[in-house]
Amino acid sequence: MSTLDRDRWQEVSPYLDEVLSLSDDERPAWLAGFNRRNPGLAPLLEELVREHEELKNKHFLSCQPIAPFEASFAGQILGAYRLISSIGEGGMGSVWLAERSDGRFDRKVAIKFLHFSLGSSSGTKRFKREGRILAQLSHPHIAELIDAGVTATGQPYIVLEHIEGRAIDVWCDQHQLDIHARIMLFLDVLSAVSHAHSNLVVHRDIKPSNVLIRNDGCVKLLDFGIAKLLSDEAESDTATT
Amino acid sequence: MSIGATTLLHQAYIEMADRESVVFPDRSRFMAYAARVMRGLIIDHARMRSAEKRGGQFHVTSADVAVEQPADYVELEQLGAALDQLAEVDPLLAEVVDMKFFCGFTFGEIAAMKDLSERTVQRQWEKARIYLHRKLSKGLEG
Repeated sequence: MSTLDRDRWQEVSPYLDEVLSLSDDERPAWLAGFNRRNPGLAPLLEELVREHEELKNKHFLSCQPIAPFEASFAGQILGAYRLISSIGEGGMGSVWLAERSDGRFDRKVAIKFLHFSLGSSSGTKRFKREGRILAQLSHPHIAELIDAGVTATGQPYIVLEHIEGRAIDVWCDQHQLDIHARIMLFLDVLSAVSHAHSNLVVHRDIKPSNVLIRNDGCVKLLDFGIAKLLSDEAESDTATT
Repeated sequence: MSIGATTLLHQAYIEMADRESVVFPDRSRFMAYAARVMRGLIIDHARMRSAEKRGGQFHVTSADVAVEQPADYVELEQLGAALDQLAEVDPLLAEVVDMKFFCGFTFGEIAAMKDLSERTVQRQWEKARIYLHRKLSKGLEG
């Protein structure tokens, strides 16, 4: 078995180019001819071509080390939930529709994966603690944060009440609401914000796409406190690095 | 483990911004450098996770093939070492691996960045795979 040092590689490399650009059928004849022309190099080249044939049936380097794991996520169990389908991709992460895997409740939930990794176990603990605080934020116009956790691969996620509805601006236009009706909806938004503030939680990212009107007309604010979870992560990153 | 792509991007930027004196003659050279930084960060992350003893497994997940292969960081480190060797022997091939495997670019994207045909990039990738696989299976002396 010949070793493959720098000189050998550079010697064999152009022939490897040549043989790899041939079809599978053409190769044996070409290699036989090469063996006559260059008997010194032929065994190594043949070895490399054999290696190439073997590699075709292997997944060597075909998987990326950065886990874009959402792609094969459907059906997976996460804690008490089974993921059903991807329902959105936002700036902060992807969102999945999920249901209880133990069948205890019918209710569907939304699971949001946050696009940052928790660098340390203390970061993980803080994330879980914050999640629990937010879970206590209970108000009829705030989408409920049901749970928060970290996947086995270290990615944080939050479990939210799943809301079927539309963004407030789209809703108002679709229903051609008059000023009075719009202000009534807005008062509901304000009551939700006020409740959070009195619990020392700020939203930091209120915009129409985060204010949904459920199909029955009820106002629901989404993503309360997530901005804080994210910025805490960023701050702790700079503090520790 | 999983590193968010965004986190990785930020870290790569910070890493590169630290070396402001580096000037790149062209975009292709810059991409090659950025891809190598990415590789370093991914391997560092894997090593760090492993040190934290949280399973120490690095989940190598493919987007197109639904196969999950846990590869531990030792494997990635060996790959890194073999790539360093390849970079000495045939730098263009190592760049293709950094861009394809560690950064997730397609052959078409790499071809456009390097101003080569897609076929050429694909052949470089195949050659690199042969080299690396041989080095990993026979030890770096092979």
